[in-house]
This record gives sequence, structure tokens and C-alpha cells, in this order.
Amino acid sequence: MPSRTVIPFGPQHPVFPEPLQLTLTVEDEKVVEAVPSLGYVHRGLEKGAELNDFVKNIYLAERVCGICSFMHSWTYCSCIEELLNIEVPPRAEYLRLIFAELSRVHSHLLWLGLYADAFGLESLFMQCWRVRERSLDMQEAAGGGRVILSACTIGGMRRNLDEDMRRAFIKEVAEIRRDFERLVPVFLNDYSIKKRTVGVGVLSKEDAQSLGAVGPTLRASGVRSDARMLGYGPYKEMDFEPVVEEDGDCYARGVVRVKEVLQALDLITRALERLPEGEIKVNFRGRLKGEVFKRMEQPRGEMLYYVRASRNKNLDRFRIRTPTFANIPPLLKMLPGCDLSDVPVITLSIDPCISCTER
Amino acid sequence: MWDKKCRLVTVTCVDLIDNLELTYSFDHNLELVHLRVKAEKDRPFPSISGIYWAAFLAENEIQDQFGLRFENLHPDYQGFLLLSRDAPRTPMLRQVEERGLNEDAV
Repeated sequence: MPSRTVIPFGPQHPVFPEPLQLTLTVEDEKVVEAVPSLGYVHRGLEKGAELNDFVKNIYLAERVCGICSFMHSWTYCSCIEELLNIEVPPRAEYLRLIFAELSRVHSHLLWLGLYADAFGLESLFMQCWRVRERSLDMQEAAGGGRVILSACTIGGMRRNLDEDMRRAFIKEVAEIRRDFERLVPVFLNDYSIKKRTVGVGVLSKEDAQSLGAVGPTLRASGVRSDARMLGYGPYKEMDFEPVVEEDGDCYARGVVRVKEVLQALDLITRALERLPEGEIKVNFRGRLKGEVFKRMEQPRGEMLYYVRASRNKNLDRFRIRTPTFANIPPLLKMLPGCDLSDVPVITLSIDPCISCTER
Repeated sequence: MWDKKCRLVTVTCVDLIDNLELTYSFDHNLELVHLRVKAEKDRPFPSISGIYWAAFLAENEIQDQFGLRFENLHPDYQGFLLLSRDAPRTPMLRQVEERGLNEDAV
């Protein structure tokens, strides 16, 4: 009987961008059990949101995550819009889609870079981030900030795109696509990437569903589920089809994200071409009353917002279920049985965002 | 829910002052299904982590924030999943003084 050792993995670890601790029980080099410890970046945002006035909460919601911040403000604003019965102008909805898909592009490129770094491909990491930089420049030009844009507001958008910028964006998206397409064969065919990822950290379709996996983790296991299929915003006019892979291993999760970058670039181009004319914001008035559950698809997966209000200014309850929160149980299922050296790759394959998880 | 192959989305807890309201949200072919129950604050509540193991994170979080004890919760963090040992306990419960503040705001 081999002896068992307990290894604390994290919270400070070279491959982790954020503090997550996994207490690993290993037998020789094989992981037997993994137990997570959270709480290193818990900020009490949900409580803070109850004390703030509901308009200020847009900025709070944006700061849940430093990568998909636009999606948070969009989801929050659409919750409030539903409570107040506001109809958002179509141009604003299209602009929201453009910004949301841009943040998907930059989030996935960031992840692909970190993923390459996890198995030691430094130059691929640099290449991914170089492409990502262009999408950040686009966000900065249109939204005023690189990541935290504060462009979304209740009733519409605060930033508009003029005609010159719209044309420049269509060109820029094509160039990002050209640059990224040069990296795609590396992720799909490279021998050393396949060696590290094929058959590693397999999550079966049944497990993915019963453990509540979301986003690329769920879709890589062969489940056709994407919150964008609900058709919120302009997605209903986009003939959206989710990217699905069957194998459920780290390689499949990488492939799903590579394809989603290309898909997001397509969606941006289509939205830019169809961008309707008109207002970008409507004024609102009314009392907040009632409750609403809202789901949207973030780069990391489906996110659920719950907003409940019975008072004028403040919310009674504000709950955010972020994708990583749902993806931690599947991660704990993938780890037992793997080699200790594969733990970084498997953990990164769910794209963990700890500041989202803990809020 | 388990037999219908519903995917557990999350568990949401709201403090209604006299008791707590728990909403279990499930996804069934992209449709959200909610189950709502009331829980008394000082009585332990049965955990669903025996059926939906993934619920352990959400239930531990509720244990941290609202002080509701769950029976047969595994793994049980004893109310210290997110909060550190020296943090104030049950921060999400509505305090009496906060209730006064809210009434002013209306």
C-alpha cells in the first residue's frame, strides 16, 4: 500500500492567476482526493449591493470580475430593466452584444495564453496576448477603458459608435481573425499540446450534467447548452449555434474556446454590419418592485443573477451565481486519478476566476 | 428533479426576518425550474448534497452568510468557507438597525 501525502496546492502557485487552494491527497504521484479552500478574495459584494442605491450597483456589479465585467453590468441592467418594464432601444442592444462578444474574445485569448503557459509554451502565451491586445484597444477606443468600461447603464448604453469607428471595427475584427487563425493550428494539431491534454481530466456527459458544470466545461463534454440559446438581446436574430465537443478532456475544452473566439468574431462582424440606427438610451422612472432571475452566457459559462426589491432605492437581495462557482464541483471530480503534474492544466481548463466565485 | 436529469443551477437564500427563504433553481432543457421552501433560522435544515453533491458549495455559503445549519452536509466547512475565523458571523442576516434604516429609505 503506497503511502499518502497531503500537498497544499496554492493559494500562491505559479500557474494560478488567482488565489485558490486545493488540498491534494496524493498516493505516490497520483491524486486521490482534492478539497478546495476558498475565501482569500471574498469582498462581501452581495451585502454591499443591498446597502447601495440600485444605480450605483451597476459599477459594483462590474467589479465582480476584472475580465467579464461588461457581461456583469449587462446582466444587472437587464434585471433592473425587467423590474421597471423598460424597453431598451435596438441599437443599444446591438452595442451590448458587440461589447459582450469583444470581452469573450479577450477573455478566451487570455485563457488560451495562460493555458499555453501552464504547459510551458511561453511563446504561444505571448502570441495569444498579442492578439488579445488588439481587442483591448478596440474596447478602449469605444468604451473608454480597457477592461472596466462602465458603458452599460439602465435603459441603454452610455457610449455610442460613430460611422467611422464602425467601419474601422469591421476591419480590425478581420485583422484579429487573421492573426488568430495563424495560432489555431497550433492549438488543434501541435504534438506537445496534444500530449499534455488529450485524455487528461475527462469529465463524462452524465457527470457534467449532474455536477452542474456550465459553459465550455459543459459543452466540451457533449452537452448542447449555452445561455445564449435563450435568445436574450439580439442573439435571437443571430442564428446562434453553440460549439459542442464530445470528448470531455482538457483538449476538448481548449478546442471549444478556440472555436468560440472565431464564433465571437463572426458575431461581432454581423452585429456591426446590421447595427440599427437610433437612440441608445431611454430614460426611466418607476418603483422597483418584484423579483427576477436572469441568466446570461459569460466567457466562462452561464451566470445567474437574482434581484429582489420591494423598496424604492435599495435592493432586498442581490445574488450572483458565477460560472466558476458552478465549475468547482466538476473540477473536483476531474482531479482524482490524475498525475500531480497534470493538476495545473486540469485546474486551468475550467478557467477558474476566483474573484467571481467569492464576490 | 434528479430523475428528470435537471441540472442544479444554484441555491439562493433570502432573509425574510422571521425565517429564511431558500430557492433551489434547476435547469431543464434551458428552462429554469424553481423550488421554494421556508426554513426556520435556528433549526437545522436537510442538505441536498447527498443527491446533488454540487450543492455543497452553495449550502456552505448560506451557512456562512445566514447561519443556517445544514444536516448531513458534506464537505462541511462549519461556516468558514468564505469567511475567515476573525470575520463577523452571518453578515447577510438583516440586522435590526438596518431594518430601521430601510424604513427611512422608503
